[in-house]
Amino acid sequence: MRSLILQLHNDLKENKITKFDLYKKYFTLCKSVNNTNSMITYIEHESSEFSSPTNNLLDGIPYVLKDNIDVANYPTTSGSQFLSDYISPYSATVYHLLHKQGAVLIGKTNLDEFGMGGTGCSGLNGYVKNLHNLDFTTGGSSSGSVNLVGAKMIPFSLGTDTGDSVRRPSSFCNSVGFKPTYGLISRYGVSSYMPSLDTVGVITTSVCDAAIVCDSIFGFDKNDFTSQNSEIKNIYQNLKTINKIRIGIFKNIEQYLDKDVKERYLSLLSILKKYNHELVELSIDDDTLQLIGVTYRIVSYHVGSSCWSNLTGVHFGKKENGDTFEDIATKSRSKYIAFEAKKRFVFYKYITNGDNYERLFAKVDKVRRYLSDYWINELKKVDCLLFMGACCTAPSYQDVIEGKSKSTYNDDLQILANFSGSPSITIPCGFINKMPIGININCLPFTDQQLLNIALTLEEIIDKEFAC
Amino acid sequence: MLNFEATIGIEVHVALNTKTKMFSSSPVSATNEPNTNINEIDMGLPGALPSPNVAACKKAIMLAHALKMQIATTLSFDRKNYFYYDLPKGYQITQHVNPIGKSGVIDVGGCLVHIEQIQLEEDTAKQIDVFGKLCLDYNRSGVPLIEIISKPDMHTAEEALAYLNQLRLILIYLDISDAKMENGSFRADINVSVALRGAKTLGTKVEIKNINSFNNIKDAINYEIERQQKQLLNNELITPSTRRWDETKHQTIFMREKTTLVGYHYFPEPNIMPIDIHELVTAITKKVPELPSDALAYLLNKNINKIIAEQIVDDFNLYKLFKIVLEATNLPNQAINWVVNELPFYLKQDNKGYDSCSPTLINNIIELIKLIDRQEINNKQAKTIFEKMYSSNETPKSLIEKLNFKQITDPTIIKQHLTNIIKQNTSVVATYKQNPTRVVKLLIGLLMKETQGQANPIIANDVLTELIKNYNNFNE
Repeated sequence: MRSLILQLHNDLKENKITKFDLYKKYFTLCKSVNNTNSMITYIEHESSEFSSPTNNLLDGIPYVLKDNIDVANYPTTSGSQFLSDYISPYSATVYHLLHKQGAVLIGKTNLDEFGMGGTGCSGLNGYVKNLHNLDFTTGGSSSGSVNLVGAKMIPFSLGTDTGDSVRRPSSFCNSVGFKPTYGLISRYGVSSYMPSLDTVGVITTSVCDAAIVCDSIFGFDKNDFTSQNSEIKNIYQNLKTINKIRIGIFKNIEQYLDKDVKERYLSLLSILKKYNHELVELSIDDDTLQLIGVTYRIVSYHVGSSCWSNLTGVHFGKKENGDTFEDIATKSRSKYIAFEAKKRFVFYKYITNGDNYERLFAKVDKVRRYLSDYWINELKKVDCLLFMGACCTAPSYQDVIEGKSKSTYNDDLQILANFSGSPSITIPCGFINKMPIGININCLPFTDQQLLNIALTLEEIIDKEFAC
Repeated sequence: MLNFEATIGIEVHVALNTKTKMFSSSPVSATNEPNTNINEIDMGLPGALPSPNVAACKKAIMLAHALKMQIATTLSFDRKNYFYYDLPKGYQITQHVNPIGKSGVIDVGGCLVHIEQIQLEEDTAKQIDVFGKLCLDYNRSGVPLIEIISKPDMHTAEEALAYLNQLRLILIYLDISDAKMENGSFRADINVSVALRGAKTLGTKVEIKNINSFNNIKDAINYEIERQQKQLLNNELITPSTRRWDETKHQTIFMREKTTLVGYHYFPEPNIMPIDIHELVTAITKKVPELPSDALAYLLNKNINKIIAEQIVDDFNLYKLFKIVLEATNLPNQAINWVVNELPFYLKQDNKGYDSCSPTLINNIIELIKLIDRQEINNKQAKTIFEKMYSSNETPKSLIEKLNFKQITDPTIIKQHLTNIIKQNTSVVATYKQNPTRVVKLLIGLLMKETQGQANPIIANDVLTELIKNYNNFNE
């Protein structure tokens, strides 16, 4: 089983390297690519902080957090100018859990402002440059995290995934991006965008490492009222490949892939058949496909706007002077919130304004439920559903700012995992023209172990067949 | 005067007396230094998530039950979105679609006031003025509230006050809130409209906010009814508006017009999954705590005068104390005398309430009443003992010793005293046949004077009757 974390753990146990040196090594690596704008905050540690290594697999392993996850006494900017000076007084549950295991936090990574955006271009200080080619973007919103992990500048990271924010950029950056079943990882201390879709995601360099990290952070949290009690544990111990997988594919989705990506997709499918896995052809009609993106926008922009109503300049964050509360709030929000988030706030005002409220907003929950039921129904027919992690490889920065970058119905499918809370993982599937591409695999809610077993099986095949 | 009728509906916000806030573990306290009872949830900081307070939910269920409401079987919350500086999250978590209680009723002395709904929600930060600067105290941010919305079933200030007082008592008896207007834990917004009597539709609703006492509520309602009547008589249009009561000017002042376009964009609170509370409701509604109406019935059943009974019920601490004393002695008149009449005199001097009475004091009161009943001490002595017992917490028995109030119960000693008295008052004794009661009273009075009230009156009576009989027989 391929695993960077296990390798580093063994190095530490065999005293090939000290924890402090390991920390310095990755700290230096992250610093060396500072030009990519991946990191927002670096966290310095003294050698005296490190004790001798324990048997905990994550003990001494360096990692980074997306900067919408709180760590006490450090800034949590959520990628926004508005919060560039905001120091969180408390830590997220996931940070506490990783800290308990001895994992070493090196810093906090850039993201599209508030997690709203899929380009990696609307965070702090300009766009996040893809380490595979600096003229290209990373996607988002967990841009910095996937970029650093995908280029092995850090062993692992946590991001957040509301629509595809861990998985889509993983496809662009050569990382494993895992969004587990909703409720398995506490969201306490993780900035909300759309709480019923938001999921903390795990970003690693292999499926095995994702399992190891999940073992440390899965669990019920009384502080998160959407947290789930589940029996899922010892995922790493139970991780194994599967001989014959019934893989569901959407036949009509091929038309929404770039030529090169479609080629890769079709060759992967034939390889899977060669390895004795069964392909089950399913179809999804265009009407349903069409609904996904618009439903997501109505649901998430609306609640996202509400969740960030706390930014008024009065309670915390940046503040502009003004005569009245309205004046202060308007000036502060105008100045310190960037375009993409503002666009979504305005969109929210539009869909809830007057008649639109009944016409658009009041119905959207029904549509979401329909889509969620549809997805679960399809998942029940097979062991997993498989499609490409994105319709294309990472778009160039130029294409993004000129509005030429695209996201198709293929990419919208990943949102269905958020609508239904089902687990979904993107793993690398080689490179096309030197840029990474990934595949996305989905299983039923609470079958995260099965999903990781399938992902491991496919990872081993891909490693063999698409050696990079 | 034209025949107008006023219609009144009331929205009450009650701050609950739970230990912690509605959605966070911060303590609830109205007396702590500003901004000391706060955490990331109360401040609406990014990443903070709400967890509903079970104790607050239980209290809401208890109230819904006491108001004979339909109680929700699923607990769910909604977001009410609006920007205001006292609202750190930019939204309030409340219950919009599925309130904890629906369609209830309070019997206010025979007049029924229907309750539309009660809902659980959270309070906002408190605005305080510091040297002319507006400051925010987040201690209040997130304090559990229950909003109680009445139907427009009241027509006079008196009915409104009776309703509010009954509601206040229910909240106190159920230990839901201290329900004090003066410290903001019981806040009423009053809706008043006036129309011609018999009109098919109600008049235009005007809301009065920021009233801080029952007296002011009465004045505000009466002022507002008169104001609206005058306007109607002048053929002026009443606009839907919000007004506030100005205590010094003694009038309601226009604050803002009410617009029908209220865009709160309610939606289900996504951070709190709906919870099945079916079992919780069954468990809570099984045991019914004593309500003010039960308390009143109990006192009336003990043959206590209605006015006094109502006075006792009106103060829950008095009622609790009174009931203990009454149960222990079964002497309503004595209990009224000492608990309702005598005790408050001393409490007032110390600026204390009934809740400050220690169990020792209560036991001593019970003991004192029993001593009086057995005529081991007289009322005058009892008063002296009560005063000392209140301040020193000594038992009546030890005070009797100390004050030398020990009774003379030996008939021989009493006989000696009485024989002397009879000898000195032969002319009085001679009138015994004409007016026996007067003679006995007079002679016993003299005995008490001589013994400083220490002769046991029952024994003294027996001895005296015997003596007089013998004396008269002897003289005839």
